[in-house]
Amino acid sequence: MKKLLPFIVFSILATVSSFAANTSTINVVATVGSQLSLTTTVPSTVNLDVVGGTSTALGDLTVFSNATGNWRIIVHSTNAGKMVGDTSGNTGTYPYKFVFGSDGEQNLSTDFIKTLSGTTGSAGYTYAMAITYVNYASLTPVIQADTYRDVITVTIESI
Amino acid sequence: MRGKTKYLLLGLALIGAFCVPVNALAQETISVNLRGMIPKIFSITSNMNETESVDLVGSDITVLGKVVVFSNVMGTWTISVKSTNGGQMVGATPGNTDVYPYLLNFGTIEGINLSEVYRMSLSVTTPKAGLEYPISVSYEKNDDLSVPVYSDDYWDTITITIAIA
Repeated sequence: MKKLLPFIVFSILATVSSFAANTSTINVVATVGSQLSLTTTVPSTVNLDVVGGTSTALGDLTVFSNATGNWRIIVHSTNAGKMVGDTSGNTGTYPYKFVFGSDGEQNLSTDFIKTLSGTTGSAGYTYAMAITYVNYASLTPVIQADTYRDVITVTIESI
Repeated sequence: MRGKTKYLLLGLALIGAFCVPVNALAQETISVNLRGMIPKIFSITSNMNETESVDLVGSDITVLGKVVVFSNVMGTWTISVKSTNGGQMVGATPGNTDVYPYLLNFGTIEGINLSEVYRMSLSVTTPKAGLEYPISVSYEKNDDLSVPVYSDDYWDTITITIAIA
């Protein structure tokens, strides 16, 4: 055992010496992925009181972005800003306007596109959304009794 | 030197594994269904009084007033006009069997004999203000009657009904 001791000590010293003579670099990498998201308080189906009112609040849309580039919000109506009747043969339509935050009323005969850039901050940007329409009693021309529907799709995407 | 290479390769592998381009195309979508319900509205209004007097002596026509019909109902609907006494006014006095015939003018249709119910069918949504039908009755003046009638009050009741066919 005593004979081995000098050898062990030598080995350890040699190892320490070896580390001391070189530089090691450790790269610490932390990547924050691009995040572009939207959340909403809007229910999947909203009833519009076209007989008793002229507007209906949909709820809020909150968008979050940590992107450095441009991104946009696209609002699309399946029926180009009109609700169409359920009943076959009913060609009447009920037009409406879409209200998006401080951008106000939008005619969805074409897509409403809002382009933004950069980050939103941790709270995101919140937009109150609503639908405005002419009350049925004031609607011209008169359309038939029926249930009228449309689907609005809101998309957020980077560009 | 071999240790350095090992660390370099490890670092590159880590970068490759976790680094995602920040501006890669990302997309997220939500949808909302809009629904507006319009109830059936089917109405008739009139400016006529419950009783309208007919001038049998001085005129051969009396305007009674008008009815306005509103409908947003899909499909066919009808307007029917019925006379209680088959298109004649009957004497109020018991025992007086005389009658005073007349013809109805309804909208643009003139000379309707109400010996039977008059019906017209429509399958349109009316304008917002509705469809307006002026109503009058035509008759021979008392002096022109070929067969004179007893002096009396002569009455009839006209009932206008709209119905979904």
